[in-house]
Amino acid sequence: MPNKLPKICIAVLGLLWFLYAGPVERAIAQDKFLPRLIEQCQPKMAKIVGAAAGRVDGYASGIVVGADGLILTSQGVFLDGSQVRVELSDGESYSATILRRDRTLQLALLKIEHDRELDFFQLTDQAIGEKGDWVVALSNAFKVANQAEPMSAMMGIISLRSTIEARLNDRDVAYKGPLILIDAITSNPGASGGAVINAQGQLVGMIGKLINSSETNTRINYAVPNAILKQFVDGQLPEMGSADLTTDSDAETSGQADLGIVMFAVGSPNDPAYIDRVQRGTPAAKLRLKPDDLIVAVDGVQVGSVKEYQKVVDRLVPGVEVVLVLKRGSKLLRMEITPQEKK
Amino acid sequence: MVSVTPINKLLACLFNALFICTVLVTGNSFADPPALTDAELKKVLDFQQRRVDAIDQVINSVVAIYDEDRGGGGSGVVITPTGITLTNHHVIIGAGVKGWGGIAGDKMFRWKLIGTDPGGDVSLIQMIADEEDGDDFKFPFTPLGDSDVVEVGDWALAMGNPFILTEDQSPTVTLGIVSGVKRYQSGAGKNQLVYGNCIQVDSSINPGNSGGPLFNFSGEVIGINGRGSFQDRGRVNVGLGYAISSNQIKNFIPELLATKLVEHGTLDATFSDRGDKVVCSTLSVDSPAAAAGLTLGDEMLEFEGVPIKTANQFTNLICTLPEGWPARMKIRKADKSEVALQLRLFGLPYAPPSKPAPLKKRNKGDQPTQEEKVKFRQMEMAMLLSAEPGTVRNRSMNAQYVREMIEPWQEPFVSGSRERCWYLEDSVTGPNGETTKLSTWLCADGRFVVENKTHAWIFDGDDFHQRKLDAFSPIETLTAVEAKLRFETLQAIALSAGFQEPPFSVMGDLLIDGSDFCGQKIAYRFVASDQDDDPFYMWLTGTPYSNDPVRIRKCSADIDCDGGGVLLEVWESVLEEPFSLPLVRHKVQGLSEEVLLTITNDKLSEIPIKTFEELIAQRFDKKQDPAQETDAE
Repeated sequence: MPNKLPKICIAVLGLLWFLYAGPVERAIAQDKFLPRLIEQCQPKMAKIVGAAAGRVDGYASGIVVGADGLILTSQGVFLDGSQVRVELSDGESYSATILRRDRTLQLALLKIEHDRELDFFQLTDQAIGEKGDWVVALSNAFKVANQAEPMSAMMGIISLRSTIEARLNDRDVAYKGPLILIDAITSNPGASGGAVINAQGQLVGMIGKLINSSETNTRINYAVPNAILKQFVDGQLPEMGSADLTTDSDAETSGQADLGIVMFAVGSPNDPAYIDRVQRGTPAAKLRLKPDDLIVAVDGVQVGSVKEYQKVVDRLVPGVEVVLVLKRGSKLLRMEITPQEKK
Repeated sequence: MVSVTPINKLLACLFNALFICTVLVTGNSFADPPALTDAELKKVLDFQQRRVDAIDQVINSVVAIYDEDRGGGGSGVVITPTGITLTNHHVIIGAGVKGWGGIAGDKMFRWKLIGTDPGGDVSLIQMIADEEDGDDFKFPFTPLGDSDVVEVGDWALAMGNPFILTEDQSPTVTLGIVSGVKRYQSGAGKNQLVYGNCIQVDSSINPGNSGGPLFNFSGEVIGINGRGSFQDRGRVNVGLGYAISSNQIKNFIPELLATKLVEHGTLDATFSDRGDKVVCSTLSVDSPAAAAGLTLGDEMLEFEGVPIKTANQFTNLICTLPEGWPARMKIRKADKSEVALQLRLFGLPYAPPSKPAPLKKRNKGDQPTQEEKVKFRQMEMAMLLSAEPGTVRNRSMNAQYVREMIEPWQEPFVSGSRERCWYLEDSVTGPNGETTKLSTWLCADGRFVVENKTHAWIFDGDDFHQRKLDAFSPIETLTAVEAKLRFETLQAIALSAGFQEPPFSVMGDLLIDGSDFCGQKIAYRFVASDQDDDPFYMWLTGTPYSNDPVRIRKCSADIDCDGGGVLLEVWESVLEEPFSLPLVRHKVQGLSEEVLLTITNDKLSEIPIKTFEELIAQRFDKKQDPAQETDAE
């Protein structure tokens, strides 16, 4: 293909220049350095549009990781609908098939069919970027961009390379594994699946699924490292798939127990643990628990809120009897309850 | 209230500083790449210095805006040495129509509202210098830059008073990059607070930053920070801030200086994407667009000189234009013919504000309570927002800006002796290339005589006269209406405008009428009305505070030049005088300024005659036949 030659020349020249360029400061100190860098990377970005569920938005960002139409994005409900669409930087929209999803790393690999080679981010086994490096994050946070409109760009530095532990059903921390903390504010709806690049235009990592502390309402801004993305795309993750979700001993049985109590759902999770409804044929129904009973303690743990109640119940094991303390009117009642298997 | 995010950015800056220090101290903070050479280090430091310089340039023009009781808070930026200041409409909604503005160094000034644009969230306020500051006091100001050249990835600095942090009125600076351009953020209420074609930044924009400047490393305002994507986590920065582009603001400044409640423009037609075309999908039959020839199904090819690819892009563009703007578009009809249209945009109405409950009566002499003060402020605001959109709210304030604009322009005309006269010999070229002669005698006090082959027209300072040049016809007096409708007199009024004090006073008192666009430039449209409310329009391009020189572009008795108008070109300094005269004048027709006739100057000289009286005596009284006198010269 004759029209590829200039592209290759530019790439080689670019590479030579970067090899020569040295410290990033030198590059940043040039006028229009960032605009050109960002412009180069826009064609490697994709907008993912899928199903919305309640208050969860049905969109995300994505990055092209293969010339044949491999798109990497984060895992989310937007992938659960009947159709997932990928919009490329030229505004063209494609129907995508989901090749692979991973719940531990919260990654998903999509594939689109199209008739030309795509510009893509190179995945590598090497760790790209170290603490203090300038980075640019590209994403479609808040779905600000539509169709062919370019993704939003943010600038920051790599704050830290670290790892994070995740637990099943702990909604605060959805991601488990190595990560790169950055100080650009990337943790916004729709931003996950975006690209974090360095001053050389290399992919440092992919903006991870939103991690929000429900206690402090703070979030961490992080990227899943390039090397992890490569392992995922290559199918080489040692502990991939749902089996991985049970490696944590705590997680093995957690979330399996059920008392049959429905908590008052309107309002905040910090509201007191009042019973809203008791499901029929459950342990709670057998003990004749009633709406407006206030749960005070479960299994010796004091319960101050709906959230604390949920936390304690998630730890219970089906069939193992525990003590429940509740307040009805002005009376404190103590009773034994045996959780059942969650249906 | 403490924000986490500015700390983030601070850390980033700190890190940056540390980073450079490390490079400085060790000379090699990276194992891999080579260390900076001296030349490169200089480049890095120079670059840093540009940022510091830009901040230094802008910092003293940033205003912390408070209400009458020095409460509340927003930001603003002074854009002229006379204290004209930009802020957000939503800041004014909180602060009222007047209040206090703080500038770095703990200086407090009074301010009052000039005009406001609820649709685009922009307000213009006047900072008022104290008497003790002296008459020649100049506010530090920052000029508006060109937001069309702003690119994603450009550095962008924001200044303002987030979280009302400042103790000495000095603003907070946040650094980031442009995250997106040509963004659209939908509005609130009826046609209010729409951010079209705006700039998205990751510079921290927090509550209190509203109305403050977004600026580049050249120290130019590229936008006014007004909102962020706050919906997810309460009102703190989450990395997406939006600024109204400086070029949109430029389109509105003449409207705002006119002291209007400004509406945004619409074609009263909607466009939708059909495949890769953008077509007209709804259209009011009685809209100006329909009258101009737009029909359903027409394809929009170009709007305001920009090729249109999507309906969103069109919506984005039209958001940046005020009501009355002469929008240019190119459309393709069903028969594939391409048609250029130009028409004035229709206004998008606002919902009238809810009236606050009336104040309780109180005894005279009692101090007003806080509650009463707030209520009074709300009533003032309700009054402002129920003003008739597009009309001048404050004539005396408007007239003050007319003087501020006209007087510096007029200065060179009136600084010399007023007892001088000039003679101009011009050729008038018609549509088929035929030419005739036109002679003009211009006096330095604004009076003139114009003659063609058959007639003479005389302006004696108060009235216009016409005289047929056939021996002894009597002199007829023309009304001002007749004079402004006749091209020969109209072009002479425009030619001599600089000498008239004030210019065009014979047509009435000039007021700023609003924004317009002619000759590829934003223009101030002025209007003068006589006792019968018969208007006279004058267009001015350039502003006293931009590099673009102030020039009279056009005069006409009709806003669209439907009955013809005079377009003035080639303003050149003549005979080494300090003033410039338009050496080419066209008779034009319609919004598109179609040229019907062209006057070009062949000869210009000062004549020995000193005054208008002498001129009249020489031309009409002594000699029996002035026509022969012209030939004899």
